[in-house]
Amino acid sequence: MDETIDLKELVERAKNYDTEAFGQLYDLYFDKLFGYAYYKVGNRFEAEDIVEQVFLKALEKISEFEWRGAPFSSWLFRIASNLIVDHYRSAKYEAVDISEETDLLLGDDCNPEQFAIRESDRNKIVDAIRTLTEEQQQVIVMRFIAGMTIEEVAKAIDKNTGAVKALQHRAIGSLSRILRGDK
Amino acid sequence: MKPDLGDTLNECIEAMINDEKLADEYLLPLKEKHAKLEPMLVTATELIGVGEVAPNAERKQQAKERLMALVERKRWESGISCIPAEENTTAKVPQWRKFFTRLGIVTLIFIVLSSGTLVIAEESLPGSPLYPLKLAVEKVRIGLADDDSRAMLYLEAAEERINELKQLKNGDANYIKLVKAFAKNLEAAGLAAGHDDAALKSALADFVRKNEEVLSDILKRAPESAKQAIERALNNGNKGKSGLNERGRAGEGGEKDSDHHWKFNHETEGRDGGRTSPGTEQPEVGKTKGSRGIAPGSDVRIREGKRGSPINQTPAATPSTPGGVNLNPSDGKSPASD
Repeated sequence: MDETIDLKELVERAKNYDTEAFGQLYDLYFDKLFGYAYYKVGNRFEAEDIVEQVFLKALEKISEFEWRGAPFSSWLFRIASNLIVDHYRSAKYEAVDISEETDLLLGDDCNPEQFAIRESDRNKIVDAIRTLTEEQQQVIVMRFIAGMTIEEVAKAIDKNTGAVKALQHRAIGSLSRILRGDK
Repeated sequence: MKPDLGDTLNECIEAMINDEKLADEYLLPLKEKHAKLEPMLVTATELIGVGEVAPNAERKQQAKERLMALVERKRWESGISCIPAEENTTAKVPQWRKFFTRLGIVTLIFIVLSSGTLVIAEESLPGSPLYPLKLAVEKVRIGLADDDSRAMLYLEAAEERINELKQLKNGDANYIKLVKAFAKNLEAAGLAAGHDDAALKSALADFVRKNEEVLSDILKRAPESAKQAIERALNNGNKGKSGLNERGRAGEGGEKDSDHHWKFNHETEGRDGGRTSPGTEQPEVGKTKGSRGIAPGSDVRIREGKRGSPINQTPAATPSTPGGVNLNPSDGKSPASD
């Protein structure tokens, strides 16, 4: 099955406001966009809100979307990226109440202790990612948080796959040294 | 040519992402690279974990329902029919083909009628073996009708669905299917008639009056997408009725109808969090419980007064794009900042 063709067909149907097609795109990308938004804003509620708005914006603009080489996911991530920038510019967000968020999230699959450990580990990694060069950050975020393939990343940042692999290699090497305290 | 470390690392990462093999299994045949690869693969595993945060399933589903309602509304506003192309009888077909199709259908109906099956089928309910025949005949009637009467036939079909719904037992598995069919018929009636069909509006008003109780019940239980279609159609009907009421007030019974008109809009108002004015042409879909709903057509903005801010990040430290670099769709447009 050619996934590219299927995706193109889905997008074309979504352009005609086909609810089923839009629903499938939503299911396909919601979690990836959420991972990305959560990485950027560090708060699950904010991240969910942002992803919901990404799809509202996509609905508003999908008739203007055209295939020009870059994957459809890049378009969605670009919307997310702009919304996150707007979010910070508005400066109307409030300080996070970790305990409130934790309480609300605990129902999922772990106890408070596990949750705290997981979040702490996650925060260390996110901090480490932010020390990388911008190009390296971009590749790491696209590969591991947005879940894009090397080919998709290459198309999205207009580089060849060899260059993307090299960037990925250097970035992971640096992260490895930072996270093990071996600077 | 020997693959370099970057290629090998990428192959290992791909395998880990796709859950194909564990990193250790990959490392065994790569002894010479082992020392360099191992710490990087440990880091890659941690990175994969960072991306594996899941949203709350319930909130994700609620957001999806809100989005679907808006997609439905967009489709309605853009005038794209929900009826699949093969069912869309308003599509232009050559005259000769129309003639032979009609001839064939008439012959078929004659055969079916003469057997007496149709009479029995007319009384059938969903789940009955004759029910598909009933629907087929209904479709044929609509297909044969000229443009002027097609809307009324769709409305008749909708009324028939209501009659069937009335006869269904509580908890019948066909209930939702039937409600969706009802919504489709109602919507098709509106599409076939256009927005200013006075006859249809008047008929819709009568229809609402006759079936008020069962309609309220349907609106409570209908799935979100069907609800939107029903509410749109009913509001059109109420507008039509409002027109009738104006005429009625000159005579008698106008006040009673006026109350009725208010009631339907009032119900819509309640569902929309009190933001829809009575008499609004279409209900505001997407105005949802809590603060997450966004009015269709309104500027989409990030909610203010949030529960939290970044754990690790200050606004100044935020790069403008993922990882601080442009995640660039090729068209170079900036959809979110339009």
